[in-house]
Amino acid sequence: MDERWLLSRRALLGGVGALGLSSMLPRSRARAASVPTRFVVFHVPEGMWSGAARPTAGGSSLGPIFSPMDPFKDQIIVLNNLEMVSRDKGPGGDEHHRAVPHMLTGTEMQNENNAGGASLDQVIAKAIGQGSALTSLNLAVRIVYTDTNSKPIWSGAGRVVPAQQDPWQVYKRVFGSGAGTGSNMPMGSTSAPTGSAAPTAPAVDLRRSALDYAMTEISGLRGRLGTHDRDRLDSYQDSLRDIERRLNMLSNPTTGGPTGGAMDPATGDPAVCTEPTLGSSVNVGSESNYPKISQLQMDMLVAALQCNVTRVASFQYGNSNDQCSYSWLGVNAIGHDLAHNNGNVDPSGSKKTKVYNWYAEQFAYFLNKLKSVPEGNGTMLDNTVILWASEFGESNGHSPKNLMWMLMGNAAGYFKSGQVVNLAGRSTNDVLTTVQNSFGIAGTTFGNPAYCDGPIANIIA
Amino acid sequence: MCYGPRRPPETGRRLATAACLLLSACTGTIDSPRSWSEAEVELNKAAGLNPDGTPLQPGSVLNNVPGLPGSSSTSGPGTPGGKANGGTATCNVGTAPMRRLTHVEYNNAVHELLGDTTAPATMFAHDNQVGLFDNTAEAQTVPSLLGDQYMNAAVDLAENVKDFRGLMGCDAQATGATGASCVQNFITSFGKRAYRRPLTTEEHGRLFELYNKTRTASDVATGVRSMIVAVLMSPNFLFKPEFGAAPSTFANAKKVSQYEQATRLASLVWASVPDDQLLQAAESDQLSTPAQVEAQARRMLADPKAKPALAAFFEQWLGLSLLEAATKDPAFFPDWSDDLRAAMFEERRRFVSHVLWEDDGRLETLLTANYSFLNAPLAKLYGATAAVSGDMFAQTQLDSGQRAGVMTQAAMLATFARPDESSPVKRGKWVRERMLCQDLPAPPALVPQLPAPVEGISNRERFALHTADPACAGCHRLIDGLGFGLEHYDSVGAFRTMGQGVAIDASGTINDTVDIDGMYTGGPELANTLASSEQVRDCVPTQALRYAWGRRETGDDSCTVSAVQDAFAKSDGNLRELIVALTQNDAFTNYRQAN
Repeated sequence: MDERWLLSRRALLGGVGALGLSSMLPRSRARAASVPTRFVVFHVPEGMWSGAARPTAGGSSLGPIFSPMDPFKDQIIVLNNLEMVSRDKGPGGDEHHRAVPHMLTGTEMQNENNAGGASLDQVIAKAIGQGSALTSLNLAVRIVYTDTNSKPIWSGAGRVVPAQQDPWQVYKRVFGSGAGTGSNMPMGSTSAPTGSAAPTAPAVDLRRSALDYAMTEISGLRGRLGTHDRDRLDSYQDSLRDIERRLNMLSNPTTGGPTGGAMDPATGDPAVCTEPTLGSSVNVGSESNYPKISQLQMDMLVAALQCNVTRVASFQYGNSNDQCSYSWLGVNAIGHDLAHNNGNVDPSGSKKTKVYNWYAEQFAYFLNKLKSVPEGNGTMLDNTVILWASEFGESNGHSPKNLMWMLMGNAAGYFKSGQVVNLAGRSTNDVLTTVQNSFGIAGTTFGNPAYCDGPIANIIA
Repeated sequence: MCYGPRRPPETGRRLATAACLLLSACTGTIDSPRSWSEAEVELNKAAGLNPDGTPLQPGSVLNNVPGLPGSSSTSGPGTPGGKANGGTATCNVGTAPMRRLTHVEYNNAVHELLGDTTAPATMFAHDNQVGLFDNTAEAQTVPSLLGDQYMNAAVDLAENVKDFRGLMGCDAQATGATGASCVQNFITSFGKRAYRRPLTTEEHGRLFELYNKTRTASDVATGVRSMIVAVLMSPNFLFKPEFGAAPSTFANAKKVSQYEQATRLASLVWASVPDDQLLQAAESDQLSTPAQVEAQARRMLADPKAKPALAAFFEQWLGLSLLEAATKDPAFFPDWSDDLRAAMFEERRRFVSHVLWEDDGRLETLLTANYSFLNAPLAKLYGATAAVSGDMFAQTQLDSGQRAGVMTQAAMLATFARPDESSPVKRGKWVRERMLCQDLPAPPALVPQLPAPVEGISNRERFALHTADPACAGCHRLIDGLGFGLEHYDSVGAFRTMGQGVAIDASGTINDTVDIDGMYTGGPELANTLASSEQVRDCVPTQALRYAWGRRETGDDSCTVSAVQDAFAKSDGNLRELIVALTQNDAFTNYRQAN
């Protein structure tokens, strides 16, 4: 499967069910009036350390830590000196397990195990993702902790959104093919009566009938449950509705399909999506594969965005309380210890610089890939908003103050990119509000309004 | 504090470990007002007090501690029911939140239902962890990704069915009434096993209607497949809803139905769905008495299905999964490899299984056995004489001066360590929380830095700062003294006599326990001390109940917790008997809805 394949209406008509989600792309004519804006949020763990050489305003480079991203400097806004104001409010455990669920939700936790609201990406997905096969694609590299309160992405209070850390599984979800072969096809599959014939014009859709059946049983069960139990049943119902939404897209090409998307400027057909080449699978839990998994996940992500399988994505590197020892860089000290032991494990900060250099290189790789996709009058990078978020300011103290986040891509001109700003303690909620606004979601607050002062004017064009 | 004054032995009662935070001993010197104030509220709540510490009702503080005789710290108008109390205490049963099938249960269920061996849930989005366990009800939502995975698996499973006659036990293809009644019978039997109860007439009718509709549009096989997919996607299959049946003596509770009882047994002992015998017993009301439930539990324990199911509890309680992520600095440990890590997993798995099923099954053996299961690389790491060569594993005798039980095994020592050094803190916390059931509060912000490991200064000396600095001492006096005893084991679990160029001093102090405070030296002595402790013996049932219930215990559970602790004690700490005891209490036979 090394060939590039054209995602055209022809492909759709010829291969419904034979292609995975990607077959759902061109629901309607791809030549759209405006190019869609996409959102990707990254979580890079542990924040900055005291004495870190952060980017400074007016510099010709982003500085020694982030210099690999210099070629994209004009597309980046460095947001210095933010404060996660909500973090120590309400219930919660230690700072790691507060900061992560608070980071993108901007509100108190429901209880010490669960975030209290939806994260930014999920709010955006709700607004712009309904026409995509996947409302959001949630990826990770080497999750070590599986505790709910180590998760940054939430579709609502108490509703964690899991991330996939195995690129081969992501591939199946995004590009998988073939019904009944054990592959992972969220919705395209239909069953031929014998289970062996090519899935063309099937008479029966096992998925839809099961969906209807399950929905009926949910209604019957729901009324008999207490409110506490109902919430988990409702989460299941929401998942089924999402499958239903996609089945409807598939069966009714004239409604609701993604419009626009990367396209071939000459023909107006959807862009040629290059199916990423994965090679044979490796142990995704093994630290030595961290760089490989990172790159494959980015390849998968760019392809999914390019093919318009999704417009919203999250990308989580490890966990807060970082357990990666960055052995491939020769660091061999756990990220969490690096974050805490400025004075001895890493007296000069050289190891941490090496680590964040590496992260900066990954972003440069990702930005470069986006930039290589022509779209409208520019490239995909111009129309994609990328948020680099991290849960701490100064890492040793687990500080909720002086956080450094970054915005990349200028949201089709919405942002005044190419600057380093000192936000003097502005609430991270205000970043969430500003980004939400860039996607046409009105409002002057995000999360708990008590921690909001409105959008950040000086980064808006 | 929770483990304060020991109850008088003659009462046969002990303090429940409910919400037993050791905060009062820990927070006094910590500059963390948030943690402190919340800790106080928590502690007072656990003790049945108002948040500000004033008694809810007249009486001494101890009378309000859950689990003590005469405690009034239950919610609701409980009635006497806890048999462990001799009828003197007011007890209730805790609420039981609805559970979803864990991924392990899903795999086992589809194996039972369809003979499937593909274990599709292995690739599902992982079950999230709350506390030590990954089966906590609170975390059992179904996010969109998992919903997709359920759907894909259901379709694949249905399409994998080729031998319909074998599955259905009759010929659905037969013409006329024969084929139709075959399908009807299949709905009855398959539905009952999947929902773990007989289908209602309405449910039965709905499935038959689906079958007919699908068959008319295509064929019989697709009709049957459509029912399989539908059942596998039903909330009545994926979740384990309970409603209770007969009136209960407990407030706001009911006795569980016979079928609910069967499901609880199958979940606990097999991590699966009930087999035909259990369903048969439920149908004929043969799960009504404790003796009947016990007989089933014993039958099920003797079945091979119990082994992997119960191994999961031990893996999670002992923290085995984090070994997967452990990293080591190759400069110090050039022999560290994924193979060695895998061998450590395998050693732990074999050891626990052996203690549980081949040896005497006792907690003491788990904690103190002087043997383990080693391959050649592990034997080298342990400095033991390998019983076999290469990658074969064999039971191997260990130096009892160096090793004793699960705590001194490489899987534990390598997981709870730094890449370059041991970690008395991680190891001490492991003992305090997992063995003594005393949860430590979150570390405060702005943790002061310890000096880096340097030649000539022992870990113990470096860590002396923890107890010298009052900001650290409050908690670290509860942690470090338990970890120092394991200083003979380096970052990968090898035994050493020198560390940082200094002779190892593996003496440690145990404090703030019910019954084992004092000095000790080295891993084996610590292990033997823990094995002799009633607090540890009471902690294990508490951990097992958290796993079995998918939630933390509350004050309402105090009588049940005590009953299971008493049964475990009576069995001389037999872990197999502990599983039986988990079925022989009021919480197991009653249902109270969570609100």
